[in-house]
Amino acid sequence: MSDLIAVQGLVKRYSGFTLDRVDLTVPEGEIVGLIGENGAGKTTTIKAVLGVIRPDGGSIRVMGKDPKDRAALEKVGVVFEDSYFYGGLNAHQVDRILSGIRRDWDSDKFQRDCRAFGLDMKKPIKDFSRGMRMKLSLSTAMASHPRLLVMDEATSGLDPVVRGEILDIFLTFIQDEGCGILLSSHITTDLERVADQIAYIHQGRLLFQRNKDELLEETAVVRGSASMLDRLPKDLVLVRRDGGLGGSAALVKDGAAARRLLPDAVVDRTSIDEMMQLYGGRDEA
Amino acid sequence: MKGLLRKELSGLWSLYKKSLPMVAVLYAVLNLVTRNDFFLYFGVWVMLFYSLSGMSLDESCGWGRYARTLPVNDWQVVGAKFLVSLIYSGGAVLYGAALGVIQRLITGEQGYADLVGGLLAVLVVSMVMVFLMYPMAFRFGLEKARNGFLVVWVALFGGFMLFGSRLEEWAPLEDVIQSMVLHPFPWAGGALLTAIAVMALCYVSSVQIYSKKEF
Repeated sequence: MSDLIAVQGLVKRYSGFTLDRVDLTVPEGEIVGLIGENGAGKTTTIKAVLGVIRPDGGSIRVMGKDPKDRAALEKVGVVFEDSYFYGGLNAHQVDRILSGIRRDWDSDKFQRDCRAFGLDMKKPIKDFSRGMRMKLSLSTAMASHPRLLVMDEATSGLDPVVRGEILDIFLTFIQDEGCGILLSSHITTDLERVADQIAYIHQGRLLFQRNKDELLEETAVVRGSASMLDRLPKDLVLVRRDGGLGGSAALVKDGAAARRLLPDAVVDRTSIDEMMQLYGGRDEA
Repeated sequence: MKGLLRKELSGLWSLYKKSLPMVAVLYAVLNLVTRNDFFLYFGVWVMLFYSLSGMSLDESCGWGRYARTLPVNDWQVVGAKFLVSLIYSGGAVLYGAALGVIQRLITGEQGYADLVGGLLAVLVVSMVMVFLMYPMAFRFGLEKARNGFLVVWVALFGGFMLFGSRLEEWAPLEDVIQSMVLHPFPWAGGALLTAIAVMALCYVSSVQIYSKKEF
């Protein structure tokens, strides 16, 4: 199984923010969820992967090619947070435009998908709701039969019904051999539902990229007094937060080991949301 | 490239589909009523500036970022914009020429050479203005480019108002004007070639600016 995206040591510097040596992979057949707080570096990472911005360091390969080589992007479908066609255009015009740009554009598929999504082909994009615009973007991304979908906050701002529809499409897409998805979102429940791996970016650094099931199975939150948590070995603790309303809490790599060490402590399974809160809180403490 | 051209033309048409026919009819009527070719010339200038609006459409919807993810190169993305400006200006020149001929046929007036010379002159000046604006618009955004250009033109116009009378008496300029009157076609051809050279230079520099740009 090869990697559709392979990022090594990616560095991008802006004034006041640095994306610092990020390593990230998207293997074939998997959905990688990229999580992080607002401004953590998710969009910057995605832009670098797509060749929209020039990295200051590191290497990026998209299906084995440098994304600066636009041919590398022939088999990549992209969905950004909002529509990128002028609002006065309609889906029919988008179809005609992209059929003249993408060699493998499948007009029939695009129109079929638009119909399935209930999109009026003649209605100006500016009159679409946000959900409809996202569906149009997704139809656009899928119509050239991509092997890789890259989506930046594709489900944010959508109601649960539309989000569910879109997540189902991702799960269907990934059934095809050799396909993969990189999906950035801060709606972590979506990722818990569809992602195979979770990559967490925090303040410009990738804290981890791990198999989601293993992550949620093994990682746990230990709650108790600060003195109790002091008894946990340092290499077991990923992050610790002291002095909150519920006392102290520590995110640990191995919940079972923590239970053995601290039989009196409360050891809970964790969620991605809670992990983010604990990591986020680390900097406030 | 075909798709990029379609995108530019559809965007502009969608923006101007109401005002463009009105402007075309208005200038035609004004030309016929006043028998003044100024409105035909002005139409060429207006159309070229209309074509620039594609830049602001792109800025408003984040097209630049998306275009980077498409299998097209920077020469094609920028080239589509220049080509649309040429299409718009060509259309306006043909429309102006047709109206000018109709007006002359109706009124029985002559002055076909004036019509051709006038359209050519305004085409050259408008081309130079618009194509010079493209690199600035790619670098600073259309709004700032327009404002910057306005300042330059106001300065030039102000300078002309202040020192124009002295220029009239300047012998070399008189010689040039005299030569233009005596040999209009070489001058017209030279002006057109200059405009094409400016366009080529602006195209290359626009691509260079665009390729360094991050979205």
